[in-house]
Amino acid sequence: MERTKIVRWVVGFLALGIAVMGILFYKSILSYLLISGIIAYLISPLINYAQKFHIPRALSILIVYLIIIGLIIILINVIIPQIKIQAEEAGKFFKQIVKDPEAFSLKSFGLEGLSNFIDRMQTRFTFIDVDEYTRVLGERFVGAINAIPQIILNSLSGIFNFLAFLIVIPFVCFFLLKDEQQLMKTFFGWIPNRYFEFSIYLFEKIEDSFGRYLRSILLETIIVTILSYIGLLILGIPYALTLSIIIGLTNPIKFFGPFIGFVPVILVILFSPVPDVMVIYAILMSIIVQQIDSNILFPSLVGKGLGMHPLWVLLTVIAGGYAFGILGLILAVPAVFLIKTVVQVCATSLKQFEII
Amino acid sequence: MKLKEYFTPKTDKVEEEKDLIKFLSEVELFENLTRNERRNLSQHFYERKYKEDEIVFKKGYPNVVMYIVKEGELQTYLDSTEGENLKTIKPRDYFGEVGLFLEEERTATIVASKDSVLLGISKRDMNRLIDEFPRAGSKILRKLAAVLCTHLIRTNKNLASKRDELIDLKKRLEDSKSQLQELKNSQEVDKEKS
Repeated sequence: MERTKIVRWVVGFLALGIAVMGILFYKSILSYLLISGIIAYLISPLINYAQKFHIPRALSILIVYLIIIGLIIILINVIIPQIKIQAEEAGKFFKQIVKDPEAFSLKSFGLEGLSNFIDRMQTRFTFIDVDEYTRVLGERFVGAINAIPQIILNSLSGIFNFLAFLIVIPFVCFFLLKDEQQLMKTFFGWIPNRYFEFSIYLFEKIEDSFGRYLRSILLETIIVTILSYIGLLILGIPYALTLSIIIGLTNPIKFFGPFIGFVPVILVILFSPVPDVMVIYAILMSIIVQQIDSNILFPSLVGKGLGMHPLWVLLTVIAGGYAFGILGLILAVPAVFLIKTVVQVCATSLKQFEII
Repeated sequence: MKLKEYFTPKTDKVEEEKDLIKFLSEVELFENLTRNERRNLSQHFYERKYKEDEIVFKKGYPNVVMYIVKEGELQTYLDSTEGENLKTIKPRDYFGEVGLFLEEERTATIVASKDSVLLGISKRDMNRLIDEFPRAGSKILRKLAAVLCTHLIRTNKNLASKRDELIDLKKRLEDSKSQLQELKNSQEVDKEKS
């Protein structure tokens, strides 16, 4: 081997070693970086918009921070206690139901014919205890529902108690936002001339489809939450705020989201003093909100849409749920969409740029 | 250390920015912009260094970036780098501006004939700047329109002179054709006589 080649290998190994050590050293910070990156990405259009009116970036970031801090204070003082009270009440409520042994018995419907039918079936097929099955099923279901408010509360307090979250992320976000252009220049400065145009092309295409999708999901969630809150308030259904937040948060889940988000609403109506007919009105309300969402909000925010076949989206959601649970349900479609966009752009442009 | 010094950013970075803003004022396209507008614009430029014989882009690549030449010299080729070069691009010239308006592919190949420094601005950033700062945007667009019109007029003139040449050639061809015919006729007459 030539001498220069050996030197090259040594330098390469050293660089690799430094890179690995750097990643190991900053490993614990990576998740913060990722989260602040996403937050900065979601805020950056606001800052760019403010720049239009010759407001310095640092100032507009500080203004946005003040607004966010104000919202957090409002959240902590007004909304969180309310959610807590409502969640606790709901918990107690469900516990009470569980205590009532006959709550899920089919006989409790008070239909004589049905009860007689069940009794007859049991005398004929002694090995099937229909009543017992429905009761166990119902109790398990309520048990699972019962656990949800506690899980939500735990994770909420877990996030808010995260001291580092409150201190590190705003700092990182601030610099990411302030020096956005500088960081972009540095990043693209690393790319060799041969791939410079391609990388910019790829970045812009991804931003145009995926970035827009990500930003609009946030707006969609907020708008759907507000709409459902208004609807539930009009219908006079209890725990409206908690229920509408659940509807909003489950809304980004394709296909299943609206149904999952709507289960608690139906349960609350059925088990509360509100007349059961309200279920129909609530379903109507949900249909209206969903129609507004899918026919007005989604097309105007996301534009062309995902360009994925509904069947594919459905399978993606299910697979995401299997693999990563609730988080998978929410994130599977955006993740697959991101990969699809990258592959699609590469497939058309790699050849055009004569890279392959 | 004085307090003021502490709060002013590093001097070389400021110098660099100043140089860039000054350089942009010398580019024809941006000469009407105010200093503030030029500073805004300057934040979106990527500085790229090209070695001699390095290809900037080839014909058929997508239109992504518009370049302004800061230093060096580049050559334009219509087909491949083997063919004759169309135009030499010098400092303060720009290329790739057609991409701002048309979705089409690159129509020529650009190769650096000397070590060059280019300032690239992405087509999307440029269009966004024009949208977000309409006053500056209209100045840039008007200048660009003027430049393109000059090109058009020059091309038209070229075309007209080429057409005149063509007509002249055609006339001469017809003249020589009729002369040939006359010659043939006289030859035939001669043959018959003999």
